[in-house]
Amino acid sequence: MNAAENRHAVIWLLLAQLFAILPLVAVLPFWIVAVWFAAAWWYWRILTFGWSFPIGPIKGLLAIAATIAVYLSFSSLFAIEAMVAVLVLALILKLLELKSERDHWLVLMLSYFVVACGLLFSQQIVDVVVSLLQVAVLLIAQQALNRDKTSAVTMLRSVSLMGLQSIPLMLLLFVIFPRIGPLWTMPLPGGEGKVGMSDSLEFGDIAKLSQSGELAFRVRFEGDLPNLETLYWRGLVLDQFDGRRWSRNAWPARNKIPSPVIAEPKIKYTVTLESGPHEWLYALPLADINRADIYYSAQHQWLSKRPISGRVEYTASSNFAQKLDDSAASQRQNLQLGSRSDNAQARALASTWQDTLADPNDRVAAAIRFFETTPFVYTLTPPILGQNNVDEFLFTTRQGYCEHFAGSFVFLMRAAGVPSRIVVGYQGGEFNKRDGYLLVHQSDAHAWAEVWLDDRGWVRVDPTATVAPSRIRLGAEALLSRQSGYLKDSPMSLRRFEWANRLRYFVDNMNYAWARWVLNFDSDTQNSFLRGVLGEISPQRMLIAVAFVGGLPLAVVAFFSLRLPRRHSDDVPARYYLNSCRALTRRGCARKTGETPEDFLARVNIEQPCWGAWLSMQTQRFSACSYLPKDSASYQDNLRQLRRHQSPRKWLDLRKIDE
Amino acid sequence: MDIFAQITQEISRVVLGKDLQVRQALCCLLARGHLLIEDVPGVGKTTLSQAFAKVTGLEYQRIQFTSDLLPSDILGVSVFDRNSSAFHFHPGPVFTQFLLVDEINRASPKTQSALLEAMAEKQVTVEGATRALPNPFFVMATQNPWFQSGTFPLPESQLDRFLMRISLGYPDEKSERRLLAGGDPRTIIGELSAMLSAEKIIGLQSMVDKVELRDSVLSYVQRLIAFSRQDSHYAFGLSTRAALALIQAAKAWAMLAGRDYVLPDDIQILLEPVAAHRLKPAADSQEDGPDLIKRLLSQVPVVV
Repeated sequence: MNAAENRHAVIWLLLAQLFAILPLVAVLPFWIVAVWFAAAWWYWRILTFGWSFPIGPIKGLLAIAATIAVYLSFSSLFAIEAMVAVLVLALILKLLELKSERDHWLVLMLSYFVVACGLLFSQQIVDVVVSLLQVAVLLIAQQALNRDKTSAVTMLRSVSLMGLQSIPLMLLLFVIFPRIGPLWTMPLPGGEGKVGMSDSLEFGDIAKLSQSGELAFRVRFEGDLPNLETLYWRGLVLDQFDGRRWSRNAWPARNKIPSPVIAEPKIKYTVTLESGPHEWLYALPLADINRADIYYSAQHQWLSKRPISGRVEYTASSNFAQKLDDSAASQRQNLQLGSRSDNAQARALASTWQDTLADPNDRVAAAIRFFETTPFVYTLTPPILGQNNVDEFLFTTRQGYCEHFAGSFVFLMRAAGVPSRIVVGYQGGEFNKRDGYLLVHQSDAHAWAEVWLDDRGWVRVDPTATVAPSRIRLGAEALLSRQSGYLKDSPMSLRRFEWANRLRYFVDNMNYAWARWVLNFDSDTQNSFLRGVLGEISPQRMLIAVAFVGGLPLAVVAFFSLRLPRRHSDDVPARYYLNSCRALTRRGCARKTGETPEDFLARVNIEQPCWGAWLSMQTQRFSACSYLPKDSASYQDNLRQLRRHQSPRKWLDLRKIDE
Repeated sequence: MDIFAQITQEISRVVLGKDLQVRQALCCLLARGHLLIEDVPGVGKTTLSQAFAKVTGLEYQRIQFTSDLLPSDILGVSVFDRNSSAFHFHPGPVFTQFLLVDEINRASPKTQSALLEAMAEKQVTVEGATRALPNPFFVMATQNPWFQSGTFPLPESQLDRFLMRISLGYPDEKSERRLLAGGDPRTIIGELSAMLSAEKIIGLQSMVDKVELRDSVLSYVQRLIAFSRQDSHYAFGLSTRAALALIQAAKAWAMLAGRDYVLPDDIQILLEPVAAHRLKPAADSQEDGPDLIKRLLSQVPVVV
């Protein structure tokens, strides 16, 4: 059959291709869909109006134009989105040379690949459901290629059947297929445009972040949930200040130190970070995390050796009371004030504290008192600040978000000669009562200060708590929900409805379970799972497991396909007689369909006389059972004999039969 | 030696090497059916039927069918008797126990169908009056293959009246040699002795009815007719009358074999003579009668 002539198959092919491409519109430029429509229309003209396929140079031009368009859209060809875009365009343009059934197959197979590519960008349950639908349409298209007119319902039924049949194999592959580490790293999506904490801070950054309702991570505590006020999820220490922007200092960050020993009482909890490249992990202060691909830095932060892509799950144990120690060198570093701004008023204020108060503890107290007594306003939409941003904030506008307070506080402390730094992370969270875990959203992003006090180590000071204590006590949501900027672009504004909250928790439960059990099934989990099931991971045991799990369904299918045509006879003597015949078939002597028992006996006597005596007895008994009245004594006797002698015996064993 | 073997032996004095056909004819008679013998001229159709008639000891009439034969030539006619000034019915040759119809397909359809009522109902209606035929009534007809010149092929309905259609075929070499060396066997037909009589035959016919037919064999017959109706090689399937005929013939055959129950083997042996003339290949099928029967025999399972 010529594929191109099968219009039915072509329609399904186009449909499957469109289905494969459409969900990618979320990451790819929209004009790709327009290109698809153009190519599909062109191909349709070729098929139905006898247009000719484009010649080589035109195809070459199209390919070049597509590549340039991709480059213009992404300003690179080596980002993953751009590569997928090139692949999708190649798939679309293949329509213009779809001549043979082989091309047809190629397009279908490429479409499968494109569907798989979609999962590079997001692996939520919704995405998986969508890709299953895409695969279903592709399977139908594949069937349409090999079938004459068949209704979509019929094909859907066989697709569902095939899908169900392949589930055991899918599970098997999921569980045992080795998780191969990346052979090369691609700049994975999510760096920019994706909401999340960055590794530097300027006034206004976190306020921007707060407008997003996206989930940052989930935490499941072993034991009771600690007080929300105490939950400062420490992310990154920003100690380098150039006058305007806070950033990480590369040297102490790279300075690995042994992971801390956490004293009792420990709080143990499991954190699941949402997907994205993670360069640092969030934990409550002084935490120990047992993971191979991260290290502990001198600033008491957990950093990844290489950005970890995808979701990350880890278990940490913390003790809030433990001291955060440090070396002298990094304390000196934490006094610099930067050169890009002057902030003379703030320096002057701080130097009065430095002159009058000898004890750094007092200077910190003075600064806190300053924040308490000055009428500051905590707002998501502070006015834009000029060159001397600290001065303007402290003495003129007095409206700001957490980073304003933390930033100014650290500036004042440094100016007053107390080593201090900014810590960014998240504060608090939202407790999901249904399933008992904590949700931390991007809107919980927070910045606070740490000051060095010789006897106490790095001590957390949160000036925001001074200005707007309810921010810490109730969480950002409670305080800010009346402000217009907060979560303005999020469906979370449905929060005032109880049912919406319950639904939200339910959906999040599902996503959490999905992340926990499916997405986080990495090689570690796999190893421990397989070790749990198999005892040890050895090639032999793996082979047995594969043979068992993979072979069992096959064996069941084979068994039923062999058994199915063989019906049990309703007639009891006939059943025994047929059993006898089947037994003889296995010994190379088969009764033909239309052969009567007598004819068969005659033939066996000629062809394989060794069975003749036995078969003659069986035939005689069968005939007697078939034609004698059922109530006679000899009927029962014959039937018993017929049943007893179902397995063939050679004539040598004749005496046994006679017994 | 049982009576059937004696009959076969007696007939074989005249017709050599045709034991099977003699047995089939006997079976047909005992099953209350009629027999059609189809073969080329000169292989002994008429001789066999004459010998058979003689051995059965039945009252015997013979009609040679020709193209100008009229129905009244068979059934009889009323003739005006001047002495009694009344019409008197002169029965035709059909009023007999054993009717031999020679070359049945040479007569016109009108005459052929006159025989129809007689064969099916065992009675004839002439000039408004219905007259019963003697009992037993057995028609043995011979015909030339339809492709020979000067024949009116029998319509399906009439073919269906014959329980069996058999052919004789050429004799085997040994029998033929004996035939050729021994002179015309027809001269000794008169010397054959009757082994049966009308009463004996009626008795045997009622014995046939008592032969047992088990469910398994009945199912086999049903499978056969169902297959002929479903399979695409057949223009039309076997009728219920065909199945009834098959069962009746099988019973007679079983009795001839000395059994009081029917085996599937009986059905198989009789399938060709009973069913072949009732089956027609489908328009696009290349197979003819015997192939169709073979198909039935090989495709339908005997024991299930």
